[in-house]
Amino acid sequence: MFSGLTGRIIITVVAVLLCAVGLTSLLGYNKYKLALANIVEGRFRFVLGDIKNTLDVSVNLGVALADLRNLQELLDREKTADDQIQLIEVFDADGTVVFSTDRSNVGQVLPEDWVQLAFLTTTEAWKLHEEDGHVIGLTLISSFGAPLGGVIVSYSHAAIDQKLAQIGLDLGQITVGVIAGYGIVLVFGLIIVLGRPRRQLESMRQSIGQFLVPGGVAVPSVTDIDHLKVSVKAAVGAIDEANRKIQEIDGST
Amino acid sequence: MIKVSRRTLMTGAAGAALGAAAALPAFGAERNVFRIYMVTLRGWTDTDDGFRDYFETRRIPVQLIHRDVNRDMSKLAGIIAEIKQAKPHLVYVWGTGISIGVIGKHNAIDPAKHITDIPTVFTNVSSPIGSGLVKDLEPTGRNVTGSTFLVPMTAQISAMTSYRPVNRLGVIFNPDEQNSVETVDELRERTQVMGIKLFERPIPIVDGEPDKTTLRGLVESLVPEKIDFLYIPPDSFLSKHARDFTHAALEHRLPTFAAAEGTLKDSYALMGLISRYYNIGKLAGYQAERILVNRIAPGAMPIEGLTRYSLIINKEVAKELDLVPPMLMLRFAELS
Amino acid sequence: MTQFSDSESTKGFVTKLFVLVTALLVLAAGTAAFLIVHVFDRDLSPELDKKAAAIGRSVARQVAFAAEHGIPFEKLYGVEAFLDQVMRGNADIASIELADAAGRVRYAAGRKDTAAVDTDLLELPIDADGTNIGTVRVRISQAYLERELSGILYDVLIVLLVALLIAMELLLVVMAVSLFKPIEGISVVLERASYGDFRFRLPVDSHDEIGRLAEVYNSLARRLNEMFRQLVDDAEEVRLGQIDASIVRQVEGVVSRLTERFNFAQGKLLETFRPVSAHAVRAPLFVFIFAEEMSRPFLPIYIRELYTPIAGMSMQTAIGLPIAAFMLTIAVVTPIVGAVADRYGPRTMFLIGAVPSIIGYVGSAFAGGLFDLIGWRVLSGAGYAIVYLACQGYIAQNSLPESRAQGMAMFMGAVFAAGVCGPALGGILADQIGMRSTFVVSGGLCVAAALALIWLLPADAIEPEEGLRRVKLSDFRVVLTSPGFSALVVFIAIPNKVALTGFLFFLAPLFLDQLGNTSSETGRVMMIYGACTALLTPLAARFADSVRGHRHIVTVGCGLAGLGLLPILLQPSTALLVVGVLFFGIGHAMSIAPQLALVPESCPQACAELGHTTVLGVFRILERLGSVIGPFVASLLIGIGGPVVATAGMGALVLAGAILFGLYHLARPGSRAVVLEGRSP
Repeated sequence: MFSGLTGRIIITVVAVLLCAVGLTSLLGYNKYKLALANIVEGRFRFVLGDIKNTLDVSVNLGVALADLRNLQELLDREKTADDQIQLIEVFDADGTVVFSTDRSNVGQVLPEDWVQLAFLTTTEAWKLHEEDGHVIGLTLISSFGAPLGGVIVSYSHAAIDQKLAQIGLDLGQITVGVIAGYGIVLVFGLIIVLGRPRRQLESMRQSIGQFLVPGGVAVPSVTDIDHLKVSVKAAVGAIDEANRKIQEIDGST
Repeated sequence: MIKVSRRTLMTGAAGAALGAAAALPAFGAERNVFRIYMVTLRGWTDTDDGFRDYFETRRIPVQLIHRDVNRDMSKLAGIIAEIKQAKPHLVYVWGTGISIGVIGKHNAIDPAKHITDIPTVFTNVSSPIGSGLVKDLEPTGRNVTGSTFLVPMTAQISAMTSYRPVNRLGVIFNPDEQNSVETVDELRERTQVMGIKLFERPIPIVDGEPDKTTLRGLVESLVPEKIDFLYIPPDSFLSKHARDFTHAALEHRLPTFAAAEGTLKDSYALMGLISRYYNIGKLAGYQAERILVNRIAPGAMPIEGLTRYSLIINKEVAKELDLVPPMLMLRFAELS
Repeated sequence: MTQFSDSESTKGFVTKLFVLVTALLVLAAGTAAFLIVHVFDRDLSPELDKKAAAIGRSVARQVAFAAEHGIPFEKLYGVEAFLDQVMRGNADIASIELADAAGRVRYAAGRKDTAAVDTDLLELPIDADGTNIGTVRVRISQAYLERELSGILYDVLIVLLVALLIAMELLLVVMAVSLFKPIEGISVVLERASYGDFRFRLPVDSHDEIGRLAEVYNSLARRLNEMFRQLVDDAEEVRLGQIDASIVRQVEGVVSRLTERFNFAQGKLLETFRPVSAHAVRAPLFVFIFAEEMSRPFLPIYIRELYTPIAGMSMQTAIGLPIAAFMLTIAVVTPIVGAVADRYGPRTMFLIGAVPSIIGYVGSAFAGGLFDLIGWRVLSGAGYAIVYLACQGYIAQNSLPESRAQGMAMFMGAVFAAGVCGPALGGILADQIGMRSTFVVSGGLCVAAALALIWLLPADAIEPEEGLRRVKLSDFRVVLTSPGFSALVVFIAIPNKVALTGFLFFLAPLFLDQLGNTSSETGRVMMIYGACTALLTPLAARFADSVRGHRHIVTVGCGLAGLGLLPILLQPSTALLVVGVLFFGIGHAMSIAPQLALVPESCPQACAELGHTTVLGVFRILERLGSVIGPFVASLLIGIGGPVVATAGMGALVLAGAILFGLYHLARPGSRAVVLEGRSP
């Protein structure tokens, strides 16, 4: 039943179904990835912007970054409030960390590429993807437009990856379920739709098959392919006639 | 934790490389200390603090040699002679008078009288063009650069209108002082565009001096005009008497906006948008850094001002006027 | 046999098949999309809550700060402006409210009507100096999430549409190869057998109903041929045993009488009858054109990324270069290859054309700069022209004159279908896997097209046929002396091709990108053009034929195409650009077919002298000139006044052409009589 024409059509259609649903899921997955990244990043951008606002006030007043007394408390509070945040740091124009939620980092120097990026991108938030987390940062500009330092918030992939893995699994289940469900309906539908031409072909085969009898060609009395019947009948008749004539000629000598 | 491994690698060597990236000087004892002469009018001020602190935070080794004329301009010639002799790396001049004395007006430079061969940074000059120090704010082409501490008028008006809607504005000014007159001209122009009605009260001049006894009367004369704000332009005379007439304004429940830090200090003005002298000093330090460390010719640097200003609100006055600062301003204002 | 020539039953079954497949694909993709959106909604909401919490904390801190500076909660000033600013850039927040310690809402910002819909509410206490002074309430916008997810639905719709079209193409091919073609073979062979011709056997490629039928027939034919051979052998035996010449003649007479009435296989083997189907090229052509169309929405953006300043050339002109080079290659290659194509036959031509195309796409994917990209695009253009010609030639050869129109319709159907799906899917792919990878996919599709052709079109299936007359330079002179023809070319054909390549292929992707659209969105917009032409062209052609008003339809269509591009002057927006593309598509759909019908009408003398085909060839060449200069005209206009002016300028050009064309025919009322006269013989 699954071989032959029906089988081929079923394979084609099911393959298209597979591709369509698969591609739908894949696009959905990518869309989700983007949406999730947007929302998560939006949250940390907001936190970052909030800290930067606070810093700007002090900068406008001419206070040196290192002298900001209550900044540490603010950073710690933001980190505690959000378990996805790994680290919040404030660094000066040399890239030296002046405040950090991880106090052991204070006084250390940030990687050079971070600092370079920070001072190249002064008007908007910049982003970096490190092995174990994302980093977003905002550059602090002094009241006379010179780079003064910056703030970074780093947050872990882990939570995002976990969500993505989960959604991947969910989408996989949806895909398999939909393909299986509709695939079965499709197969039965196709078998029904293709039934008629198959039956036609079959009846035709039987009609032609009736010509064939062991050892020769018999012309059946009932057939719906009249022309062929007439033609085959005529051919058989003519060959028989010719045979008879040759026998006659042969016998007469 | 994040990037710990990289960081340990970086800590030792990174400083120098980073310094280059962030336009910092190379570290190390082999570099010379920069010698800078600072010439001031009346002792050590906030501006000078800003200048000194800038080098400290940037870890640029400098030797600051301070010379003060103590309001006696006749001492200036001697200081100039000393500087010419000492040949420091840079000269820092404070205020309009000292600046003109040391580097000369742009159209009257005398190499014999003025310093021309040593890079000079002027600071604390309220109107570099008006005073004739420079022709415009473009790079001078001379061995000179500097800054202006004026806050653009649009920013000042916007600070007032952000605080409370302004339809009627009063201004008291000294018609005898160029700065004041220029500021009021600009104020007149801007308010006209914005549809704000301006009430001008010039201080009467008696015997060539503005008459301080008229100040209270001028404030009272603005009360019937139902002004939303009283604007005080930058003016040394008004700064000197700020406490008196801002108190009069407060009595009549008039909020005062002051354009100069001096007028805000120890007065009853509600608010002001100013260039902090300390930040102006830092800007001078930044310009000095670019000349000394980055080796940019002073003549190739434009005359700059601050790009961000300090909004100062007197919260006691606000409370008394029952005009609490808007939430948005609370986020970036300094409450004193 | 009669039931197989009965097209009604076949048609009914094909319709049923297509309806079934369409319905199930739509349902399946719809179900998948619904479930996906549901899962997303469930998963993204907690993330939005976390962001709302961060925002709420910040607001609470600000209010507490004010309180700590002696500003009582009920005396706060400018709270709405403050909250508005907090909400700015956070479209996912519907509203923020501040309630006092007693729980009364004192301040609020955001949409007021959202309380009922947006049930997701977050409350945070405001504590100042250790005492609670109020609450922040942040409401999360459900609409935001819906908007965010609605993009998925667009993508799903596009995927569905593309899947349906591809499914139909594949089904057509599968059925053509597995059903219609063998049935055609059976019909022909059985029909021949009915007339006594038993020389052919049927190919047995499968063990399905058809294969079994073929086997059965082959047994029958073999049996008959064996009987015949037996007879011949017997006759030969008898003949050899005889010395009497009259008996020999008698025996020979018996056999020859038989072979006069019937045809039997000579020698041992029966000949296999293998019919060819016009469908054989449809799928490869579809895939091939699809590959080219995929790059439409992002090609200009891609060029811009590769662009490095070139002395004496603006960036816009430089971006136009590869697009123009592609068109120029088609214009140059088509007449040259057209002349030699017939020597090789469509199959070889298609395979020859696929090679530069594949190289061109892969090269484009790895292009390092503008100039090598131009080179790769020239290769792709050459391949495109060759393959297009090959398919056109195949249709012409393998359809009878009376069904040639149908054959061409099928050919154009593949081109149109590719024009609908290609840009849409290409845009999605460019967004998802990048522009370079999408070019690689194009290259892969070309390989697939070539393989499909090899499978579907056996090498022995077709014989080269005598070709058509090649267009000569002198033909241009003859044709262009006809003012009607010149008017058609100058006012209609060239401006519209200029606008097609200049606006749609060059300007629109750049403009849409500048307006902040992704490649997927650009692809969707460009699909509108494809969809308009695919859906409306046949309708417009039929309508124009029925009212015999080709000229008016062309004028109105081009007028619409031009008019639609003008509103962009009001405001540069995506919506107005979509309107422009829509009008452009409708206008072109109206005018493409009637334009071709106008060609012979416009120059009866030249047609009589050179023949319709040559005149059409001249028209095509002149039209392609417009395609080549299109990107340059557009870049020139961008240089003058930016994309808005360029778009409107393109519209004005097309509109002016339409108006002049209309005026020209108004001024020459006699032209209609000439047309009828010219047609009558």
